[in-house]
Amino acid sequence: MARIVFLTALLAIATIRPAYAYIDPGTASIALQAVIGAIAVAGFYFRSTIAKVLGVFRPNKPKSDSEETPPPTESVQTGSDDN
Amino acid sequence: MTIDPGSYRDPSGHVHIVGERVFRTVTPHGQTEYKPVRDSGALEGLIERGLLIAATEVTNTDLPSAGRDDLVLEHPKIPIISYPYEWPFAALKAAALLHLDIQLELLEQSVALSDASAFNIQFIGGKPLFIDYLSFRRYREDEPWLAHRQFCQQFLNPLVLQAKLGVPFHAWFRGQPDGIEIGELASLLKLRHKFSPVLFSHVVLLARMQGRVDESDVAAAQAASSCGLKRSRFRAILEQLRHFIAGLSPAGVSHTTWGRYATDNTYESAEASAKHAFVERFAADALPDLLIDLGCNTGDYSQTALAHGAQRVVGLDGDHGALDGAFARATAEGLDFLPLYQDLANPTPGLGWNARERQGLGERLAAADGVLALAVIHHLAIARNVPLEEVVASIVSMAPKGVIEFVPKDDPTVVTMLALREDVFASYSRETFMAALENRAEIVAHETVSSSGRELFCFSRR
Repeated sequence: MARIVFLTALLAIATIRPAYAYIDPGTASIALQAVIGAIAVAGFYFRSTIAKVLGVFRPNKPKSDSEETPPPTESVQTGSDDN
Repeated sequence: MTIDPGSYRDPSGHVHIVGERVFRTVTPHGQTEYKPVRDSGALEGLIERGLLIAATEVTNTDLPSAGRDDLVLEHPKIPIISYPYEWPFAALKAAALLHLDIQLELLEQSVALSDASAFNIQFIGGKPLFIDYLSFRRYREDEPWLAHRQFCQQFLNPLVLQAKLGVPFHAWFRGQPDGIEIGELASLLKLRHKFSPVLFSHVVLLARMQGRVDESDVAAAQAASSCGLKRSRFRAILEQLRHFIAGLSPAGVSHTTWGRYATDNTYESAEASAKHAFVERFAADALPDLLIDLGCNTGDYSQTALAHGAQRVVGLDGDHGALDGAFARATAEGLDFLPLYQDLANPTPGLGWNARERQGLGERLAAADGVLALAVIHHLAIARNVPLEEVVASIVSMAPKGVIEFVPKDDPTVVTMLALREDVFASYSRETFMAALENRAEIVAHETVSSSGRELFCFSRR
């Protein structure tokens, strides 16, 4: 899959935009971000669906901070509140 | 020049330290990004909630070394500078979450962070604070996340190393201050880790891609830079990482020896009370602004010192379980107590460019005016073979006032230490200790606190 994405990226050479980073972002990281983003979106919907299905059977299940619960939808929490 | 030696990378400006004041210059190049962000008001909420350090615009006359066209900001001084390779696991995790929370919030206001350096975050007690104003720039619709690789190297990978593989990240991160490379971590992951969508995409897939891409290939780099990342996908990545990191905890911490120390040690509780009372009297008398607690463990005595007159405490310990306990205490109790990973026989040296980019520990703690060295000397003098006189000299050199505990050779802890090795410590004695201390300091108070003959000495340096 990675090879296909990268070949697509190479073909998209027509619209080159300037980079704005003083750090080196790394070619692989940039080329792969659309795929990583798609996995993240898919993961979100997958977890949401699982949570909804489980919710049918366990409507009062308390929210936990484990990997299986959907990500927080609120935009900001303080960095120390998970410790 | 007053430019901080660690502030050379970003062409948008520099940090200047002038006495007790901290300035940041923003060059005309940097202003094209900073001013629109400032004017949008996006930063004010972060400052109000204590997530971002405050900044006041001052005139160039306050900082003669600033360029004529520079914008000059003044920040409050951070009391103690610490680095990610010294932070307990929970602190690096809190810093990672702060970075993601700030980016998630700013994305709604079309502001992006130009980098993801863990060094852009500092701690006030257990609370992380974002300090770099030059990181803020306008978000360009569908631009890639330029700081992704840096976020992985400086936050995600070190946390994964300790959480999933049980290897503390500190030695590796210290040896490589740009962070843990994606390919290096990927080569260590087990098959079961690769089923995690986060580890698969951000580590395994990325490492494989890096293996195939020639980073010196200009055409490939240009092709990559044309790849966009939709805002919704960028947000999904940030939320995915936030969710994943929030669920990480260090592997194997509960099994470390020192994590149980506070409840399961060789002291009688009456002896602990006597030590607490001694520390109380020292703190109330010396009123230290910055107290170093050597071998702080979970921060029991740090908390006592803070409750009785110490302004802030830096705790140093080499045990990861104890440090996480100490950090949890600092956050739960809201203490101005910063526990840091440190091997006392191998303190953090100057690192990075010219070995001055990141300061050594001694330089950063030079302002300390108090030191606690409770149940420490035998760990250096016997476990690490440092001559006792040097141990005492080193402790006394850290601060003008302090408390040192002398642990006699027939104490059960020392007996255990010597059980499997030859006793080559003929000079480890009360006489050597007293001579070393009295040579350098006046003994202000003294008390025997245990039936095994442990003694506390409060000293004032000559």
